[in-house]
Amino acid sequence: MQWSMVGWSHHRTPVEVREQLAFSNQQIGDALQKLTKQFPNLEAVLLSTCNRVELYCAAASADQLPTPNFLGQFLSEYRGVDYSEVESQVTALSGEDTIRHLFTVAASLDSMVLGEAQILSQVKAAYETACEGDFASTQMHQAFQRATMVAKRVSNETEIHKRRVSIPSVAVSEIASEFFESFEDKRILLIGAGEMGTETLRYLIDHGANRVCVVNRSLERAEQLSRELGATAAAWEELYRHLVESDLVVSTTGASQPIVTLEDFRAARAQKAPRAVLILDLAVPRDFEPRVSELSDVYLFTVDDLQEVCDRNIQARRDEWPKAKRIVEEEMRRFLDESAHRGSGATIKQLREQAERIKSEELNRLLGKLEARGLKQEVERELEMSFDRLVNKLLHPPLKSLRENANSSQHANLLEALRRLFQLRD
Amino acid sequence: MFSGVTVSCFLLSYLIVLAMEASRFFGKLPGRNLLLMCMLAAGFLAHSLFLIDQFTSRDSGNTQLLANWFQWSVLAAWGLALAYLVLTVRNANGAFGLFLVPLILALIGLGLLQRDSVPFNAETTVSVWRVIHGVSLLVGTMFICFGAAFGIMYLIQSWRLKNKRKSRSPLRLPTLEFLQSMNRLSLCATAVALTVGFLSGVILNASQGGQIAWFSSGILTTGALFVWSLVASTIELAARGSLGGRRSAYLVLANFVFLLLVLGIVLFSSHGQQERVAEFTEPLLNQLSAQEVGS
Repeated sequence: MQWSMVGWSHHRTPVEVREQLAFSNQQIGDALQKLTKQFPNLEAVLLSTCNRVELYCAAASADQLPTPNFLGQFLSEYRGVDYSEVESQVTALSGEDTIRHLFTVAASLDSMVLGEAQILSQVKAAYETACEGDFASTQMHQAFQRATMVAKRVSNETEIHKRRVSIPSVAVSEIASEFFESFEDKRILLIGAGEMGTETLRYLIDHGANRVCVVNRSLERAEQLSRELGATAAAWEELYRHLVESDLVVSTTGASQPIVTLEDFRAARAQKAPRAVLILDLAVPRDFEPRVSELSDVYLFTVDDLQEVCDRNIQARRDEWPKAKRIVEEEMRRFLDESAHRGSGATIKQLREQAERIKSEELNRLLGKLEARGLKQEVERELEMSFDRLVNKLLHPPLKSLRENANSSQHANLLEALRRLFQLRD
Repeated sequence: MFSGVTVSCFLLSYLIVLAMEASRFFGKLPGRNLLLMCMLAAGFLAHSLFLIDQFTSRDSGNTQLLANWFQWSVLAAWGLALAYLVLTVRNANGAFGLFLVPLILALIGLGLLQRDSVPFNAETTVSVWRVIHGVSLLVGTMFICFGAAFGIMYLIQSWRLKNKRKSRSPLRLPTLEFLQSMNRLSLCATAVALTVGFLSGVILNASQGGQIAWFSSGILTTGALFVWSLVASTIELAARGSLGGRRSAYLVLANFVFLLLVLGIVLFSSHGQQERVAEFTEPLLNQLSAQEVGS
C-alpha cells in the first residue's frame, strides 16, 4: 500500500497563509471529488483546521498515487493561492511517515497547544466527510480508525490531556475547584464583560454554576451578556453589595486603575458576616488592588498566577511527550505489519487460486485420457493427492520467504516480485 | 474469641499506613493507594476484632462496655479509624491519614498508658445512664479529634491557596468547602454528644443519690467543655455562607485544646473511678484487723 501526505501546518506556515489555504466543508467535498476524478483508484481525506491543511492519500501502487508536487499545487490552486508562494512551506510525507504523522496529529502531539482535545474530533470529522463522498475506502478506514484508537491510548496512558493550559480552564478546573465541591449553589459575580471573564464564566456554567450576576459599567451590556448566559445583571453602583455576598468573583474590566481598593473592600466586608471569597482578577491592568489579598479569607488570583499554572501544565504535558510518542511508534509498526499481512494475504490467495486452477486443468486433462483406458477410482484419488502435494511443495518456499519477511522492509519488494513472477493481476 | 489479636497488630498497621501517607510528599508511587487501603483495612479489622474480644471475653474480666480508660481510648481510636477508612474509600488520593492517623495513634497510646488504671466504678457500670454518659462523651471526643484533623487541614489548604503553593505540592487535600463542612459537622455533633453526656451524667448522679461531687475538677472542666461546645456550634450555625472562612477551623481547634485540658484533668482525677483512697486504706484496715485478731 502506498501512502502520502501533503499539507501546511502551524510549524512552517504563518496564520495569514493558513487562512488563505483553509477549506470549508463544502470545499473539501468538492476538491476531493475533482481529485478522485483524475485518480480513480485514489483514497483521500482532507483535514482542514485553523492550524493545518493536510491531504492524506492512499493507493494500491505508486503509479496510482499523485506526486507531492501535484497534490500541493492542486490544493493551493483550488484555494486560489499561487503555489510558488507556498511551495517552500509545504510538508510532504510518504510511506510510514504519513501514518506516523496522522497518528501524531490525531493524538494531539503535533498541535500548537500540545494535548488539546479538539483535534481528534476534527480528524474524525475530516474522515467522515471523506466517507460521505465515498473518497475513503478500506485503507483509509483502517488508518483513521487506528488513529482514533492511538489518540485514545495516548489519552488514557499518559497525562498529556489531563492538565489544563488555558487561563479560563485553569481558573475553573485547577483553582476554583480547590475551593468548592460544586458551583451549583455558589454566588458568582462577573465584573466587566471582557472576553476572558465571559469565557471563564462559560466554563463555570458548564460546571453547574447557576447563580451568576453580571456587573458592568454599561448596564445594557451587562443585561445583554446576562441574557446570553442565563444570569442576572446589576448596576455598577451595586458592585460592593454583590462583592461581599459572592463566593467567587471573576473580574475583567478594561479599567486603567484598580476598581476595588483595600480600604473600600474592607469597609464593605465589615458590614457582613465574614466569609471566604475567591477572586479571579483576569484584567490587565488589575481590577483589584494587590493588597486586597491581605484580608483574611480573601483569595486573590491574578492573570500572572494563572499563567504560571498554565506554563507548569504545558511543561508537564511536554514531559509526557516521549511516552506518547512511543505509543505512536508502537501503533504505527503494528498498523503497517497488519497492513502488510492484509496485502500479502490477497496475493497469496490469488497465487493459490491460480495454482489450483492450473492443477485442476491438468488433472482433468490427464484423468480424461486415463478414464478411456479403464482408470480405477483408487488411482484417481492417488493422482489427485499427488498433484496437491506437488502444488504445495512448489508454493511452500516463496510463501515461507514472504511470511519470514513480513516485518522487514523487503516485504513489499518480495510481494511485488511474486506478483510479477507469477503474473498475478488484480 | 479473638485473643490472638493484640494492640500491636493494628498499631503496626496504622504506623505503616502513616508512613505510606507521608510518602506522598515524595511524589506519586504506583500502587500506593491500593496498598494503603489494604493495610488500613487490615489494621481496622484487627482493631475491630480486638474490641470484640475485649467486650466479650470473660478472661479480660471486663464484660461491660467501656469498663476502663483503656477500652474507652481504644474504642475512640476505632471510631476515628472508621471515619478515615470511609473517607479514603471515597477519595483515595486525599491525604486524610496524615492528620487522622496521628490522632488514632495518640488515642491508642493514651489507652496503653492507662491500661493498668483503676476501672470505672463497678456499681455504675451496669447502669444504662452510665453507658449513655460514657458513650456520648466518647462520641464527643471522637468528633473533637475528627474536627481537629480537619481544622488543621483547612488551615494548611487555606495557607497553600493564599500563597499559591497548591500546584507545586504533591500533597492533595480536599476542597475548602468540604473541609469546612467537616468542621461544621464536628462542631455540631460535638455539641449534641456533650449535651447528651452532660444530661445523662446529671441523671446518673441523681439516680445514685448525688454521690458525685459537682465541684470536682473533672466535672467542672467537662462542664466547661460542654458550655464551650454549645457556644462554638452556635457561632458556627449563626454565620451562614458556603465558605465561612477560617473561623470554623479555629473553633474546632479550640475544641481540641479544651478536650486535651479536660482529658488531662479527668485522667488525673478520680472521676468515674472507684475511690482511689480505698486502694490505700483497705490494705491498712485489713492489716489492723489481722493484728487485732492476733492479739
